[in-house]
Amino acid sequence: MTAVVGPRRAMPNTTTYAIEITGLRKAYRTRKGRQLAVAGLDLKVPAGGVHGFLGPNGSGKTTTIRMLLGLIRADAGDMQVFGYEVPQRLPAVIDRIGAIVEQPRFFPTFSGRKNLQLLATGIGVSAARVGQVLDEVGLAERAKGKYRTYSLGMKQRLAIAGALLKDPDLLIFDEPTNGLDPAGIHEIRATMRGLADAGKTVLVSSHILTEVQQVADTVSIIGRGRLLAEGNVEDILEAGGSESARVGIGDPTRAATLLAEAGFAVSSLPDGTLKVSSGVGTGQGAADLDPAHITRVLADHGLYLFELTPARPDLESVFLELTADEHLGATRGEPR
Amino acid sequence: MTRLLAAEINRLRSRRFTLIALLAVLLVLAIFQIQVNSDVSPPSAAAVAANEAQYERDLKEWEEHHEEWEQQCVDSGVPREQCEGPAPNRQDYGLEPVPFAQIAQIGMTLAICLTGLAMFLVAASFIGAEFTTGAIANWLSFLPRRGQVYAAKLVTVVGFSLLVSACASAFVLGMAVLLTWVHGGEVTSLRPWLALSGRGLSVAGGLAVIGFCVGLMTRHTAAALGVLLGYLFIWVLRTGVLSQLGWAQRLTPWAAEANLAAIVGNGHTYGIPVRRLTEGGVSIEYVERTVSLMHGAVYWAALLAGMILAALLVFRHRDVT
Repeated sequence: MTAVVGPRRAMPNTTTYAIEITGLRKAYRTRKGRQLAVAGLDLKVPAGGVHGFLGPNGSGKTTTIRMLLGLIRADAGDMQVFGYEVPQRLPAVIDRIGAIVEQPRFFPTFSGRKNLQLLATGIGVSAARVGQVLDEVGLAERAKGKYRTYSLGMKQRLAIAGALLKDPDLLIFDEPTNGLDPAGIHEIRATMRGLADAGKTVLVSSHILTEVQQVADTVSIIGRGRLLAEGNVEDILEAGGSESARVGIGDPTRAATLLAEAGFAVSSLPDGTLKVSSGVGTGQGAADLDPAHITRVLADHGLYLFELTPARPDLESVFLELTADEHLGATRGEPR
Repeated sequence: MTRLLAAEINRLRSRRFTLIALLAVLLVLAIFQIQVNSDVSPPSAAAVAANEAQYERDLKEWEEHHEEWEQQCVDSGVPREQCEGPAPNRQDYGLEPVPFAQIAQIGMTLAICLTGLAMFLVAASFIGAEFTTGAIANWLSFLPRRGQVYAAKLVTVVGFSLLVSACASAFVLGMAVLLTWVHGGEVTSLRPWLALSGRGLSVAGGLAVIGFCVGLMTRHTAAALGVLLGYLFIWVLRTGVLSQLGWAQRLTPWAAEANLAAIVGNGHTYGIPVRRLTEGGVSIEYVERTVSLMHGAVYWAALLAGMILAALLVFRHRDVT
């Protein structure tokens, strides 16, 4: 299933992509043989805005990012960043990329400032910029502390500061909120949104969907190293299912029959309630999801509901539906 | 490349391990100067008298008994030529100050060996820590030209090793000159020691390269240290347990440490055991052979080139996770 990309925010024209990946493959050698991590992945990240890169743990997100950054070699496929073939021409475009891959990794016995100063020297950025980015991420006061004494949130912030050193056009955040408290998560989300609003492209990989839904303009969902869906968040949600209502009633079997006859799509939920949505009806044709209509149909037949809760489809439900095989595979202990 | 070098130099000099290694080298060399001071000082009249008396006693005892001792040795089945015990040597009894040349030789050799070992560890730790902390992945995500990154790191550790070795040699030689002069001894020509110091630089640089390459390929300082200890074990086995086996000693020209000794000592002499049947039984004679300085230099040049190339290939092609 692939939703059509329809930009929600300021988006580039459809030919402008920050990242374009075609047919990407990577298998790791393990004792049990070759384990496929990325299996012919296609990915397009529009320039500008926040792009969510979603998939369950082990679906190939980090491997893909590492291949983009030249840290590991792809077995096959083509990758471009701002039109430059990578990894062949990565040095030509690396100054436009800032990335955090998985856990931040700096020298533990050096201070946060020292770590950034080393990076700044290596990439030719002024020492003043180090102070600026430390201020930006709110780490200036603890900058002299040793990195190993930092909390996970502080380490993440230092990594973001490192990624911002070059004032890059593309920021890649791999699971940036892992281990953060709610305030930290909110901060990171605001940072990503702010960067995107300033014209940057932010690629954020995550398996925490609510986070991404709040901040992303477009998303790609992958599973077992393959693209499952991509596009504008709204399009993905629409493609994933229509609005529905949860109906609690004393006689769900009879109520389901009546609502189906009235043109609603009805299914039973495990807790005995009904999921009712607008659907292709029989007899009277498709019915819109109007709570008043549902109430009337049931009341006319002497059935009185005790719960009627409207429910919008969210990214999580779409994601779970798309990656259901992955989760089943994981619970069965199948290799990914 | 200049920026990369600046960053690597900055990191190397900021590392705690570097500081500890430097302090350890300095401490050992400083303690050694106490012994040097004692050796180059003229002994007191009382010490000379006591040592002279001891020498006379030992000489007299040897003259009276050495034939008897040798016969006992031969009777126990040992070939006669191996039972001959030399007469006591007057120079071994501390009756005169140790000459400058001997002090310089011992001091310089100590400085070269010590700095070589320290630089092996510093270099292995410098690169090994990047892999164990995972910081190398972060570094390469900013600086993807792996060839340049590799070159900058290697040049940094080699340059640092040369500097430390030069300082250590200068310190030891300077102290030997100073203490000999202070105690009224004669300071002979410095030329051979300056040449030795130059060869010492190449030893420190070479061992730093080996440490760096092994640290990179094993991705851990401890693993690099393990490789070093493993090699020392083989060396002890070959020159100790297997010292009387001809085939083990014929490997000497291909052993890294023998070629290193040839560089330090301007040639390295070793013996190959040959068994002969004599009237008294089987006797073992040692045929003297030499590993020349040129052999050592070519051997180490080839070894270093091979290590640098192998480590570069690994660094360029290995996935960094």
